[in-house]
Amino acid sequence: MSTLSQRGLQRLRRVSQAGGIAFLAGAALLNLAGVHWVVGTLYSISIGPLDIADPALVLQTVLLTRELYLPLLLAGLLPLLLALVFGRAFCSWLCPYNTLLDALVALRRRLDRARWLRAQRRPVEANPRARVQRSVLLALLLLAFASGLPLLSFLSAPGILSNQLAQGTLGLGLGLELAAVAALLAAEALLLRRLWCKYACPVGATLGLVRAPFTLRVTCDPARCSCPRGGEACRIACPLGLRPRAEDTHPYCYNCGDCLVACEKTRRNALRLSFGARGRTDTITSPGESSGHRRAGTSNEPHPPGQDAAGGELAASGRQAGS
Amino acid sequence: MPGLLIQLLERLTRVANPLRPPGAVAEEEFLRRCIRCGKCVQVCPYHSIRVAQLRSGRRFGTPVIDARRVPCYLCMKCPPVCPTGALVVDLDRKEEVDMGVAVIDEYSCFAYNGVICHACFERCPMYRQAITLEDELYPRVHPNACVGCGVCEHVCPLDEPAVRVVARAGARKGRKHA
Repeated sequence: MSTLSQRGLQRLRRVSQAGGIAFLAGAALLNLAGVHWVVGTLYSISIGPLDIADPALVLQTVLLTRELYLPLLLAGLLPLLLALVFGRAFCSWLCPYNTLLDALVALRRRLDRARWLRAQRRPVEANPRARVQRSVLLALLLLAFASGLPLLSFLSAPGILSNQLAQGTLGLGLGLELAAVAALLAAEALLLRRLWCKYACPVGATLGLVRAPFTLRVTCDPARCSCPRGGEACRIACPLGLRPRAEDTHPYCYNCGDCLVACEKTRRNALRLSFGARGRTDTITSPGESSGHRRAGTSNEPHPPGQDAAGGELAASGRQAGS
Repeated sequence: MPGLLIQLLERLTRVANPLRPPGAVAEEEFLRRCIRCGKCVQVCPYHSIRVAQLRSGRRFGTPVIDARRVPCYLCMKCPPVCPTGALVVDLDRKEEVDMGVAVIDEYSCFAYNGVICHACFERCPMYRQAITLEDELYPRVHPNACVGCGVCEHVCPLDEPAVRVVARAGARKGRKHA
């Protein structure tokens, strides 16, 4: 599909993650110098004449004010449109909370790989149902509505981090909310679980509400998929503890692509990021489960060295020329 | 249930309405409308606007102005950046600002105690409209012209300023004559 290798894509993602933070810091520094080309935080940001707002907060404001304020509605449109095309890629490519957590987890992985692997190998029977994440979002919205307080603003980790970055740069001091996010970050890095991004974050949950047949997603080619159940390289790699090849990962999967790198390492290249489901496989929800899809000789070895010439070619049957 | 909690919280933190940036809608609506994005704080060239901290209870995260520290100089940069209309975005004339009204304490004010002081009168951006000198000696506030920017409170030479801006409470659209 693309000429970029999965690792190349990951490098690009790291650049985007770091660049996102650098962009916000740079904007704050410019503000300090009196230049206001870019003003705002991840709650709401104005880049030149372009106004962007967090759609979660747009929803919340509509509920709290019982009014449709057009400039705000328009500002919330762009993130939703991007989510319609790229899924929750904001979370994995820009969100500073996820960026920091990625960095901390990478550090832990380097220091104690066995511990990280143990955590990543926690058994996952099935992906959680979409309604779990959506119920949390709905509950938060209702609570905001009932209390008249913008609860979602208080619970937006990317919003708080970007806001604190701006305030710190402007010399206005830091608040306790930064300590709260830092504690959450430390807890998740320590326990090696990403529960916030998965279940609680109102920003990600709102982006997960929009979905189209062409939305970017991870798809699995069962004919190429060969990892044994329980030892799937993609599941071990998934930072959210999902089963990527099950294809029912929406709205939890944020298209980070870690599973694709793992899959690429097995030389099977069964997983792909594609806009929409791939024609022949979209009806199969759990490829690789039935033994019919497995290839002999690769079922017990997640990293078959040099076997992809034999098994891979057969499975691909010329359909997919690969990356 | 959350309503009760909020009421309790409010009772614990019951304080006078803080001074809001120019163009702010009425306090209760402001609290519902402001998403705490911090844009007004970022564009303020004087760092007049600060963010309310956690101890301000439900006002946490909202923009406030401590006029004694740094008043609002009415540059009108903040209303247009507000994404939600918590600040009336098309407010551009400083005469239309209605943040509050200055109140002079005649018991402590130098001028009313025989010391010649024109600090508030001279520095008032609504010069000769919001504050006038009666008998060329006594500063007097004209609430209809006063926009509540707080420059007078900032420049008052007393340790405890004799003039303070009281934030306008109740129904208000952030804009005079509208």
